Amino acid sequence: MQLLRISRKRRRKQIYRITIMAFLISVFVCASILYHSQMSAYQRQADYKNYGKWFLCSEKGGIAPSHPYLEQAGDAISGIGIYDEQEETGYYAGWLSKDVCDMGNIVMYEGRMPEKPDEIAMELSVLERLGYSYELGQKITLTYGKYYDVAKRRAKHKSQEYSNHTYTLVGTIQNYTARWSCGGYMPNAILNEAGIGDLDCEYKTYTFQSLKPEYKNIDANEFYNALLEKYSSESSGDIIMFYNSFVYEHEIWGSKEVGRNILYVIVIMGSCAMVYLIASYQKKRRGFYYRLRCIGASKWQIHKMAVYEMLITVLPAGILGIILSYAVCMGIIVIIASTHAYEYFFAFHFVEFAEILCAVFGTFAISISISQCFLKSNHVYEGQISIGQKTKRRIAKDSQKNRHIGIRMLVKRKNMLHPFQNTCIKIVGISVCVISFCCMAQITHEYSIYQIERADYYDVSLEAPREQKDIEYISTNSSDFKCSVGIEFKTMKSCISEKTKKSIEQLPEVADVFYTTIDNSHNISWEGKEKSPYRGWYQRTYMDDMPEDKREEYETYQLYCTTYYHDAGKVWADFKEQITWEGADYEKFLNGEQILLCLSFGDDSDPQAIIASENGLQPGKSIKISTKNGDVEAEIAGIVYSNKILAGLQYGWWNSFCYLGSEALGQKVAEQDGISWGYNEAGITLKQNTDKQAVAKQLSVMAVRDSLIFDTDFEMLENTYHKLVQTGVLYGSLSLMLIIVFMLIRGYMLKDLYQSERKSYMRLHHMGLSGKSICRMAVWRGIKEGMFYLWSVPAALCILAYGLWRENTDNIIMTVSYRLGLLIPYTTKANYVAYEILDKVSIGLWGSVILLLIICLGTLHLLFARKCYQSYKEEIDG
Amino acid sequence: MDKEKVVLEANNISRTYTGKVPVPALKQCSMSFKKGEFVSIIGKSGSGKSTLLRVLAGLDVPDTGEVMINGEKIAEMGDTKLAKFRRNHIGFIYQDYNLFNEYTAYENIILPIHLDGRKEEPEKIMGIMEELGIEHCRDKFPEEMSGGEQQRVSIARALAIEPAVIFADEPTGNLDAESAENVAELLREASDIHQQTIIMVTHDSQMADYADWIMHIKDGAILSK
Repeated sequence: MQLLRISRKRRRKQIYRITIMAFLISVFVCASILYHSQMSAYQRQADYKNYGKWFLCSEKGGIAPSHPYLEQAGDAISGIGIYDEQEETGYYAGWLSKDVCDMGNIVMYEGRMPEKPDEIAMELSVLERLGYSYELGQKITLTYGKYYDVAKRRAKHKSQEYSNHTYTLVGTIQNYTARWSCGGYMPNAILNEAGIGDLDCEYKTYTFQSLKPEYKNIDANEFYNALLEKYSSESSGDIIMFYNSFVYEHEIWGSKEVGRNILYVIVIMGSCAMVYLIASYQKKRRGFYYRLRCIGASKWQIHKMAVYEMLITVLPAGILGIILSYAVCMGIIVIIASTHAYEYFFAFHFVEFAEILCAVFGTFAISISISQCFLKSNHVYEGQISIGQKTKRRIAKDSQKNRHIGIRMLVKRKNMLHPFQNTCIKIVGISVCVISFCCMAQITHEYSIYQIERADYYDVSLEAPREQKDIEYISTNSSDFKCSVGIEFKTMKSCISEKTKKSIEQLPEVADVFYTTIDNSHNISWEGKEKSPYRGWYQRTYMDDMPEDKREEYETYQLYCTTYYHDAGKVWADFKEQITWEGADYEKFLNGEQILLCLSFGDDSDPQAIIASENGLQPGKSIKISTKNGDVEAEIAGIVYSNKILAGLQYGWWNSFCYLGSEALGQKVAEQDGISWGYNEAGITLKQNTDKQAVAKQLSVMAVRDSLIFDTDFEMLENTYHKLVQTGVLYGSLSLMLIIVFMLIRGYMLKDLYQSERKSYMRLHHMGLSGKSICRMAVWRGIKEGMFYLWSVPAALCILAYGLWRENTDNIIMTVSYRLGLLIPYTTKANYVAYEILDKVSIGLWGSVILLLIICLGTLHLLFARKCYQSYKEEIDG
Repeated sequence: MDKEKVVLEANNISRTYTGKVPVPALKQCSMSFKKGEFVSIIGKSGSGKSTLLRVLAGLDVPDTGEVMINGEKIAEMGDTKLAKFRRNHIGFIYQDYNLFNEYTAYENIILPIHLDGRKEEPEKIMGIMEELGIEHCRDKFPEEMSGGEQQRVSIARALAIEPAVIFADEPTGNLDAESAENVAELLREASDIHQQTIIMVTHDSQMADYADWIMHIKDGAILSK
């Protein structure tokens, strides 16, 4: 053993290398397990911030569940309905205790919570709905209803009683109710507790409970269902009880099963790398053991020596790796917690620690045991290092099949010479490939959600008020029956003023403004209009008892709509795929000679058949927009069905025949009508790193001044953006970590491989092979290795899907949906879970991962082959 | 000591390498070697010389027949016993020296003693080194020594355990003529002075002449002694 220690000292470089690799692998295995659990903890913290820390929200006065796992967290009062004159807004006034505000992480944009009975703090959404700007100090007149419970009120034959109360706005708060799972019941306008008492109305009190810290990792869904079942049986009435499912049901990787399987794959990857490392090291040491054997060492002595050497090499590395992983993990969490204002969320779990120990040291034990098999081989004791029988048979078979001997063949044969190493490498590569793919699928999924929301909503929207009209007529079915139909419509008459337009554009924080004019006050006609199947059906259904003269008016407002866009180029580009008619011309569209038609009949069965059924409305045919001074004609350039454009495009309105045209067409119509042209909608996109609330506040002031409808979605968009960033950081870093570790391990392996094959290259060089050819051979080897992983992604996902399908046996009736390009009914949970996995196989994503691997592997092969060749050349030159 | 005493005896040993085509390396070979004898085994490449040496040294197991050293049958010994036996009774000298690159010449020499769990006697080791003219190489690593020096270290390692039999597998194959002669003389001295049996495989008839007698081998069969 003393001599072994001396030998280790003299082979310091070699020992350092294997120690570092063992250290890296143990860090990788340990960090993966830790990262996985901390990913959940990080996700939980982010969710706490977004959706509140509460676990259960239930109506006080009913049954407030008491359970040893739960602790009281705070109270809230809500249910005081806010009305816009006498129209229900869906918003509530109420009170939140300080505990609920703190626990719910309710963010105040400006000001403070009300301290006096005549003060109020409001969500931006309710201010927008009631037509107030965000300015603090302004007087808010709140109309509220006396009765909360509509059913009880009706039972007493009472109508709602409205009262007004004026408050001073002292604070604006983030729209927390749009995020919380119980948000629909929570107050949007916050009053002081004494202020509630001043109001003569009914209200509801809710109590919030949170999980005790020691129970934060229980299966929350199961716990909630148990609570619900228990209290449902005890209570006679309805139970209003909410569970913070946004926090407690949020699983990384979408489900626990997938997460667990991914973790297994990571651990297997680490284990394979370790087995390869130790086995290849032992293989290298066979010469040493052979010499020992020659001078009289017994097999037992050799095994003892090999195990002892491996233990003293890898054990300290493993222990150090685990300690360092924990330390780094704790350090990173300190940084994350302090930068994101989260509480310190690192938790030491003994079971997890035991898993790490088992994974790291179990891997070492397995690797050392396997490496002993290499020493058991007779080759060591006989001093021959020859090709095994199986390998010989495979090579012979290959040799009979292929007659052409070239570089590719040489590469193939070389790979065949190392079957064990190749298997290990392939398992590691497949793991990296599959997990990277899954990570990228998560990121792209989140990105597509972000993209859809970004295209669907603007940070701030300004809209000229809609006009209202009552169409009164005497029913043709009964001569004395007077009917009245309320119509809401948009016209060019009511527009955003030039002054406001300029003010918006001058704001430095505004990135882009998308102007639109929506008009559904003009009748549209076309050849064969009277034969339109949909129009016929509509008339029969909705205008059956309407006299002829009123029908046209009603139809104008309800069936047709024209939308004129300032940015015609964007519209044309967005519909490019749907514009298939040869005569379609962007210039004509821009000049107002052509339009696009968007049909939306509320029937999803076969869009193409629906389009075809409207004979009169085909590309190339003309439509006429009726104006005061004659018709404006335009040619249909293309037709789209609303289903086709739902994915993220904000075109059209809710009318069935919607025509999309350019600003020029709108101007022609306005001119013919004798009115001035203007836009009645503006979608404003703000720059990314600006104080959006402050800009929105300025815009809200403008909107109130000009009596425009004001709406913001920047909070939702920012929330989605943060989710995207969070997903990108979580899964991106995992994927990056895996690829880096893979490259390190593979680099180590390739260094060995090319060293061991140095003699072959020498021989090839002697036979006249140039350095370039050797490099080409190495690149080809890398490409081939990368290409091997092509099949791994779909295969691994199929296995995963099958595993999940077998595990989930609950018969849950679900909906139908498009998956894998097919309409698939989800009759069971198993189908749903399995198809969800399979649906992730996107060719583009899959190709990107493989391409990335090919590039990395090709580069690595090239680097080491060149290094090996150069050292050989230097040796010759020397 | 009785010079007529048979130290090593092999009876009807055969060895065939299995594979797609079985290759018979040794065919029914019998021989005996007496104490202090210096024997050369010569033959062409592939004639079975090295296989014979490995079988005689217990590094390989014959398919048939038996090998006895000092009256003990090698086949009946377990691996540990055989290893111990070889450590104490057999020395091996290889064509490519089989020295450990990470050990100095001195450490290479004492390695078999340590493997046996004993402690070396430095004066004795230095004595052997002086005798072989490599005392100046004490702290040198194999790569810092010439081929001749390395082979002498290899001989010193074989001599250090004071074996009854020393097997030398083409010990002069990698050496120049002068070094080869030196090595052959050293082996001759070992046989003469230390009464050790030397069995040397070679294909060089000049080297073979240093032996007491020469055994010819062809296609795995002994032709003449």
